[in-house]
Amino acid sequence: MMDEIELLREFRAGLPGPRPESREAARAALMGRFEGEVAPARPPGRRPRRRLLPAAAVLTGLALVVGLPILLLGGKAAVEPAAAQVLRKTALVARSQPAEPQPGPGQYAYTRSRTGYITTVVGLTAAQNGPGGTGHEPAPAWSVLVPREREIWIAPDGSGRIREVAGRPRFLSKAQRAAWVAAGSPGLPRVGRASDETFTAHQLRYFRSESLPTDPKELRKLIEARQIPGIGGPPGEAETFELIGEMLRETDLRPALRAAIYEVAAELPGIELLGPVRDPAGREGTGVAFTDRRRGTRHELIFDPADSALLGEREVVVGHWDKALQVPAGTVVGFASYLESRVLDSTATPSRHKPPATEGQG
Amino acid sequence: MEDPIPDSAALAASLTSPAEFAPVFDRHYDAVHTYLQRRVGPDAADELAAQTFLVAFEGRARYDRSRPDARPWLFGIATNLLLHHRRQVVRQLRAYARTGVDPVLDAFEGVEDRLDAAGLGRDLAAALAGLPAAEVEVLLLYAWADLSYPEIATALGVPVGTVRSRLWRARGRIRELLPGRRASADAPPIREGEDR
Repeated sequence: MMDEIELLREFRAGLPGPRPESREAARAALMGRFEGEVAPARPPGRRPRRRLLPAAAVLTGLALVVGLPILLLGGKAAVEPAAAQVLRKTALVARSQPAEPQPGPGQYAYTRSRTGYITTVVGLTAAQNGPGGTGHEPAPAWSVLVPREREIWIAPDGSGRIREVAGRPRFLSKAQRAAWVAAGSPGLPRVGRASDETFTAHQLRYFRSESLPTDPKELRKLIEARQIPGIGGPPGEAETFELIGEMLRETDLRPALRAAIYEVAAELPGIELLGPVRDPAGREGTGVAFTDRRRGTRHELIFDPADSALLGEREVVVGHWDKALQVPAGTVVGFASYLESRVLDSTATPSRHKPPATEGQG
Repeated sequence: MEDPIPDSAALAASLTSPAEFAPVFDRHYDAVHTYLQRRVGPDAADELAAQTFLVAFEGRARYDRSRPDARPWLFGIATNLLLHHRRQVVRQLRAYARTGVDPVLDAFEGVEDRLDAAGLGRDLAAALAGLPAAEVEVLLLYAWADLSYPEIATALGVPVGTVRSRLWRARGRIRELLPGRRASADAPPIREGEDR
């Protein structure tokens, strides 16, 4: 005979654990709060690993909080031959490039870009009570797209500097703006606010590119098994595409490794060819993309066909969460254009480049 | 895969570096979600589990750093959030008692009702629906979340003696409310004056 506790333990026993997409959405909502903390300066020690996707992930998280059902996509996508062909060609171009000058001791790989990603602004008004520090719903939050002029200097030891100047935040939709006004227009990231941080050794290099294989098959195996330190994440092809983006972004890779990464992308099921497109700065390039139905976005990577460089990227809403947030399909929720990359002798802003104005604002 | 940094240290670090909060989520999300799911079903659990960590993040400055494990604290937050859903919880239990179909189990395919054969599930659902909220929370944190008495005390912000007496009362009521089904009375003895 069972006692009441044993009996209770049988009650609703054997339920499956949380769905991975629920966990991921909850995590993304939380990470949105990290971003939205709008700390006076981003504290050092935080690895400034950058991806476009947290942007959309934040939205997914919000969508979850407002109770939007998450769409699951069944079936396995095939490799698109046209996309594969273009990526293989890009790999060939990459392989034929002369090795770019690598920064020596005391030098820095410098990249200047114009980016925009979503910042979630949290109205920190919710008082909490009780011993658990709780008792209230989370404070309201708004997601705005904040364009930024970004410069990064990375030394061979992974130390360096990041400077960003914020442009004018844009609401993702009229509905979000209206909700923000209705809540008394809480503070948004300030236009022209510069953040400037220096980083000590290892902080700006989150993976060691020199130890990676340039054989595409081996590289693919490592990426798919998530066995490269610093290049980890949940399984799945959408995540693999993100990792590919991370490896190409603001990193000075050997041409052979860059080529191998393109080869890996060519083999990725679900990759789409966009063909000739313009990057967010208006430059012509060749685009490939991956649509993450669960997130409801398409992430585009745009290359320069002449030298295989990553020109820019963009993340666009393809639907699904637009109903709850009233963000229409086609809305750009993240972008980057890589405008300049060179080797510098110091972390000073190069002279021929004027400090960025907050251009492109409405 | 044990992370050497205790929750208390991660929470302290997250005050200046918010991303340090992430390991706390990674360690405890599944347990919190699993518990909430059992209480309110998968959809509401998605929402409440996400909220639990958002509330925890915003309230992290008040975390008692003498406690390395944040689990009781997180379950306390989840419990507070559940109180807002108390009506839904009770409605689901009553529906189960009335119809014999548990709306929570029904949300899953291929999960069988282990208590159904004996009809015990319906009785138990009716019993749970009839318990005072304070007792149900203690009872289920104990039986489902596997928290110890001191951990439940931390989670709910009540003295350990209160936990013990609430649990004792809840068990007694469950026994009373299961007609004709005598469960063995092997609960720990209660001493006088513990319900402070």
